Amino acid sequence: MTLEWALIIAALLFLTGVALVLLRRNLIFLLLGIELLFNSAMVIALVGEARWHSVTGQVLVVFMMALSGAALALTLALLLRVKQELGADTVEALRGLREEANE
Amino acid sequence: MIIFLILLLALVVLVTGAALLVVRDPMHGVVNLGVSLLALSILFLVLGAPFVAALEVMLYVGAILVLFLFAIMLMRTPIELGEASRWRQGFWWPAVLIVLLAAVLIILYGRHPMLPVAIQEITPAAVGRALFGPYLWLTEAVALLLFAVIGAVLAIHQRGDHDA
Amino acid sequence: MNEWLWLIPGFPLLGALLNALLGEHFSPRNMGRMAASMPFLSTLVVAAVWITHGRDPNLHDLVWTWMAVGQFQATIGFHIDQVTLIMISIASFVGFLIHLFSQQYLAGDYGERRYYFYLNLFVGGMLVLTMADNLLLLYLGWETVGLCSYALVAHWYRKQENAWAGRKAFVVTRIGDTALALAIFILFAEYHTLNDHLLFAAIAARPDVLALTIAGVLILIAAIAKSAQFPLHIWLPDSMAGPSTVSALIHAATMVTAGVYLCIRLYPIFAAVPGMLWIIGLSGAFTAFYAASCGIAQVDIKRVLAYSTISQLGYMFLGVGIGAPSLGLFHLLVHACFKALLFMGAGVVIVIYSENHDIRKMGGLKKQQPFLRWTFLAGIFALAAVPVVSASFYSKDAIIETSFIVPGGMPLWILALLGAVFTAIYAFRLYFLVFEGPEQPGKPYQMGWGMKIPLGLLAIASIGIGWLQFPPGWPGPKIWLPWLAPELGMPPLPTGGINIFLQIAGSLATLLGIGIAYKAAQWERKGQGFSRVAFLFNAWFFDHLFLRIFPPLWYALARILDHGIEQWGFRLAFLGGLRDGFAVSGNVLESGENGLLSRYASGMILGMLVLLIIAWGWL
Repeated sequence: MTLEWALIIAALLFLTGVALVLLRRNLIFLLLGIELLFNSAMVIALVGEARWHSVTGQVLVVFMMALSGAALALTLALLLRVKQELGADTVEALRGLREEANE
Repeated sequence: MIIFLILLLALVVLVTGAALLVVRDPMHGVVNLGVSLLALSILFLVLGAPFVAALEVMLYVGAILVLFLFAIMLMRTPIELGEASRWRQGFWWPAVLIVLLAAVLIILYGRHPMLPVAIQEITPAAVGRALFGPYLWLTEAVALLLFAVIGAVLAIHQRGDHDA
Repeated sequence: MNEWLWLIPGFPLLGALLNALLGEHFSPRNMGRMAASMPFLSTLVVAAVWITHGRDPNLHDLVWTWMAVGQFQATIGFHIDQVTLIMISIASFVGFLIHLFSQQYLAGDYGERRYYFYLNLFVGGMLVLTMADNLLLLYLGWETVGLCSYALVAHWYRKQENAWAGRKAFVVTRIGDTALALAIFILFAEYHTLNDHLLFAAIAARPDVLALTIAGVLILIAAIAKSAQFPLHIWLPDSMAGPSTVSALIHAATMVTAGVYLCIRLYPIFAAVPGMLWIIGLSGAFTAFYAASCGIAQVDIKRVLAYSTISQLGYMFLGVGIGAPSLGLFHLLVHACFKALLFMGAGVVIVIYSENHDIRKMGGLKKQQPFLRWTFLAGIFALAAVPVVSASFYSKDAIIETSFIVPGGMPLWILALLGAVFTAIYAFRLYFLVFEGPEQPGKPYQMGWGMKIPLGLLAIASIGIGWLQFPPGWPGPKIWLPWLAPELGMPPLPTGGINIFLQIAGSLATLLGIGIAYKAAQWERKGQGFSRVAFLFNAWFFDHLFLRIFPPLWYALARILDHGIEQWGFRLAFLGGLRDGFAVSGNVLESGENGLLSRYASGMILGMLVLLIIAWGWL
């Protein structure tokens, strides 16, 4: 039963993460959501490790931690620049990629 | 016995997750995430992965959350946050999407195979042997990547006329 | 010996690496010396292989396993058997001679260091290609030589047309590369291994004719593109824009022979498909005839040699197609020697006449440059297959003779024989126009030992290397065919009366050609030569045909995509419809204008949802 519940926890984390990314306004919460997504993937990797008794699960988790840390460091730095340049730290401030599809 | 622990962890994750969705202050959100990750660390232990459990606390709670705290501090958001909305505009379509996603996940979960219960612990030594054995090149590449991130962060803040 | 095989490609690759990393701290002359020493070192290792294992080479070296997934292993492994030993001897030794020649030829030119880098990389790639024991590594070498050929042909890139020529070479050979990649995929999908030994064993045990046919056709396309056979030969004449030493290496001795090597190496695949070999033979024979017919009308000294290369490669393919791959390999060896010699000699001639390539404006060079004249003449003898005293009399004529006696070989024999007449015509026409006749003054040019040694050695080889295998019925050594027989089998050889008839026919063809060439040179000087025949001069107008068909096709397709789909379909219908749809539904549900970042994320989640639903339905 342990592994089934672990998967359920992973699913909960995933849904929460997705909800944070899609629904919140403040960019910090967006990034928190992304961290939750990473963690959900880590739980699933460890479920795989337990299921197949392979050390690859933990190796995957280690790499994911490193990569998410790297991505987060960069993203937070960008966030600070956004606050500086655009003055707001909300999702709606990031409109630069918008195509002119409406003329 | 273990099952009660797992249920407790699931409850903690659920509660902190819900809290994350509704709090206004980013600082509260970070603290909620911290609690959630601590619960996850215990979950990792239960799943027989002491190494990553320790790493979760050290790296995630200890370093990444601290990064968050620093970032929030440096953003110098004013203290009063009452009026601004928590949600982005156009809230309903994505909300519907997430409900659909949850529904599909639940239905898919109904078809899961029985998973064997015996969980063997895989020691840090074994992980170390793997990391520096078959996965050596990847490990070195990730190290290089982390080093490169330093340069990238410096480049982002290079424009000079701010005092962060 | 097995453990040292990696040194053979390793030395030139090391040279390229040193050049790239440290080159700017040294003068180009020193870089050139370092670069030239690398294939020399490879030649030493190859010589060691000859000495220790020459009689029956069968060496393996597994250098590194790149990845092992399930049954599949991608390895860097080298294997030397008789065929490979010949190929690497050519690549390393002739490669070394060309490096040596380049020391004086390109001294002081711009981009000298870059030239040596690509030259080393090329030799390394060619050695990897021929020593690879699995198709994936072979493909690596294949691509490397293609890349270096692009870089080297476009070496003098400051002139627009040189860069264009390099690009043309690359694009046309790319067609072949794609075909080869597809063939490799098909073979793997069918037999689950790319290692040569295992693959051939699997094919012998369980031949799947359909897959092998498709793979065989694709491999043939790859070989045709790389070896400049009809109809993908169009890149070779234009590639003469590169330095002559590049042509000597790439378009004579090595890269273009990679296609022949591929056919010899993958011979079991072709043998398993009925009729495939005859098609290869037909392609070779026709190309030999076609290119030789164009060669007699060319006036650019290097273009004559370019069409000559296309034609001679046709003979090699003919050899493979008629079931005599060892004869094809023999001619490959002979051709490498005399064609490299001719290209290098042509390079000197061009310099003497101040970058003028038109042979009608040359003449009488035998007085100024006796050494060049005799070595060039040796190469011309070999090209025309003069009886007895030239090497290709033993190789090319053997191929032509054998084609007579194989089933279905009559049309091939006729094409090949006509090709031989034309070959002798253009060969001696070239010689008569450049070296004989009234003297046209050129710059005085003193060749150093670095140039004389390669020309001399290759001249000796052009005359004598054929003596390894005398035709049946002649006294003399017959070493070549028996040496290769354990691997490639003995080819059918004519005997008795037919044999005598064929040999006389072959020799007469050559002598007839020489006679016509003498006249042709005179007509050319009077302005009434073969070059006035526009059909031949423009290579049967094939290039023009391609340019009329393919580019307009692509442009039309691009226009359709742009107007039809991009502007009308996408912008108006899709985006506009989406926008209007969102506006309506947004007003209904009070959602207004969305923040675009989250919209993208929502799109991803929507896609994921769709995938999950599909997964649900699948399970």
